[in-house]
Amino acid sequence: MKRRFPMTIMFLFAIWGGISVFVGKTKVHDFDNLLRNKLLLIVGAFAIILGLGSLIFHHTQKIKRKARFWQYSYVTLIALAVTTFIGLGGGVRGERSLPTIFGGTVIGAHDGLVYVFTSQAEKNLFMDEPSRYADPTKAVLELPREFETDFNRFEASQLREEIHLKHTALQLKGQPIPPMISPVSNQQVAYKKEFKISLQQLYEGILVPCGSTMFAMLAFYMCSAAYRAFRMRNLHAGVLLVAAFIVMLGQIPLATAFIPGLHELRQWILDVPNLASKRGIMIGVGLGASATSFKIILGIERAWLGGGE
Amino acid sequence: MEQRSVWKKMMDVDRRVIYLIVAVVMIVPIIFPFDLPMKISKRTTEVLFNAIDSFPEQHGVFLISADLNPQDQPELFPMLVAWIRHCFYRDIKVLVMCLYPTSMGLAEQALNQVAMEFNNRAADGIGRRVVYGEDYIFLGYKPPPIVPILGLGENIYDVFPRDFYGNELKSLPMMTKKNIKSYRDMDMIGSLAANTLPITYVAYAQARYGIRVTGGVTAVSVADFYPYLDSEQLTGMLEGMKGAAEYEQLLRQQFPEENGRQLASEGMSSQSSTHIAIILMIVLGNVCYFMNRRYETRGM
Repeated sequence: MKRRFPMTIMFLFAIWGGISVFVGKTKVHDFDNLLRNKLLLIVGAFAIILGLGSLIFHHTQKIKRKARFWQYSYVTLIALAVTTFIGLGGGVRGERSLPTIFGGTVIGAHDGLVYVFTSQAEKNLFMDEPSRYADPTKAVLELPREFETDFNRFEASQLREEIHLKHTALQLKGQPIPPMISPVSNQQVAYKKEFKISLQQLYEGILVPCGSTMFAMLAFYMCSAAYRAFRMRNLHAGVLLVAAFIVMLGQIPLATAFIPGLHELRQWILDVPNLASKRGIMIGVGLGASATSFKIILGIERAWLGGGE
Repeated sequence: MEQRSVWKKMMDVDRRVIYLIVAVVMIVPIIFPFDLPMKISKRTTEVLFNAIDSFPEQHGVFLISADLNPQDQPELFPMLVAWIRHCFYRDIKVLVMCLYPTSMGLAEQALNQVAMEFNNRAADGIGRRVVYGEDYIFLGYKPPPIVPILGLGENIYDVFPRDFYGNELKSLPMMTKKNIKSYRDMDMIGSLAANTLPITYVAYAQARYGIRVTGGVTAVSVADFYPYLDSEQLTGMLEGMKGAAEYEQLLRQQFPEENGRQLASEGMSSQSSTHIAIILMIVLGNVCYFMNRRYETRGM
């Protein structure tokens, strides 16, 4: 039963997936969409719980056993806790209710009018049911309808910058400022110094520089490896070296500008020998994947069930 | 004997010396960039540029799957910026989505940056203003990749009921005016990724729903996409930073008012000098190897 049940589920869904491709716009097709758009997301959500559990278990065990580099497991666990807190509390842009945003002005637009709120929660309440809460006498700024979505998505600072730019440009040209975009509420839409912790800030402050640094370091290792290991030891290595040499040289604009035919030669290498070998590999991989899929669907291949035979 | 020791010494040179050379070769052109004569790749960049240029003005819709990560930023971010600029110049509507959570920050940054460029110019009386919800929409992130790729072929509102900012997608004017419901209402998908996601789009979106697909990929993975380029399953493609720089050049040629930062063109001087350094090191490494072997076979 432990094996037969998952195999039966897999068999039924595999057959279903195949059938739905060929039946056109029918109820089968609609049900297949429902499976893909809803059920798959729910399964994915459970997989995240499983993954989280596995990650926490693995690293706590590592710390307990004082395994090699166990100290780094603390970094992983702390990062996980902090990111989860900020993500759930502050959201991507610090829009959630937990106190990860300090200061600042929350603004929102509805029906061509801009409103200032005391908190994001108040704004969310307003935006969910504007017909109930919108009071035109409390609006601070009037604006053309076309800007409404922009206002709702911009931070207070960006909004002010936008209005200011437009305002200044019209002033400089000596053109009259239409009342609709006039920043009459400069004092009212007061922008306070804002301190906000959000996932976006973690992303920009930690992930972007760390990711870029890690990748940039590759250039140093590649150069060192190219100098030490890329040798023309035999004919095969020689062919590889010459091809790599031409393709890399063709990547340099200066070289293609001064060496006639280099650009075309590089393109030929990519178009002919590269293409032929890639196609061969892809056809082989495709046939192999199809054969393995059939073996799994028919229950011949059972390694995916885990636990050995 | 004396000579041999020189080759041997050169072969065993301290790696820190190599690192220092690379650092200098890489950093100096960043501080003092130089212009490079760019030859446009007809088979890849030009095909893609012409394809986007042939979208119907005011009616074209370009879906960009921006799946770039911080580590791919130097190569893929300029491509994203260039695509958005091209669409805004031609009044083509832009939909941007992400299949990975780490891509959202850069995708939003690119959209905001280009929108700000256009709106600043519009304030000076050059060009037109672009408005969120009318000219472009950021759909946000939806996992796992295969679900939105197939789902968008059926009904976009099932996959993305709301945009990244929480606006109901159906309420945004661009979606209603253009009646965008699925791939049928879009002109092309542009997949920006450092992995094989463009191939996934070809396999699932193009094969099943017939929409044109193009790609913006890192230079190191270019060779993988040539079979799809040859079969015209990919409508052109941008190959690494060089491809992005070529696209920027084509944009400048076609739209003289283009004055935004040319990130790829700026980066090309540093990338080119580093490539030259790597080539020289390969040559030098092999010369040292052969000279050393020559002395060894002679029993010296």
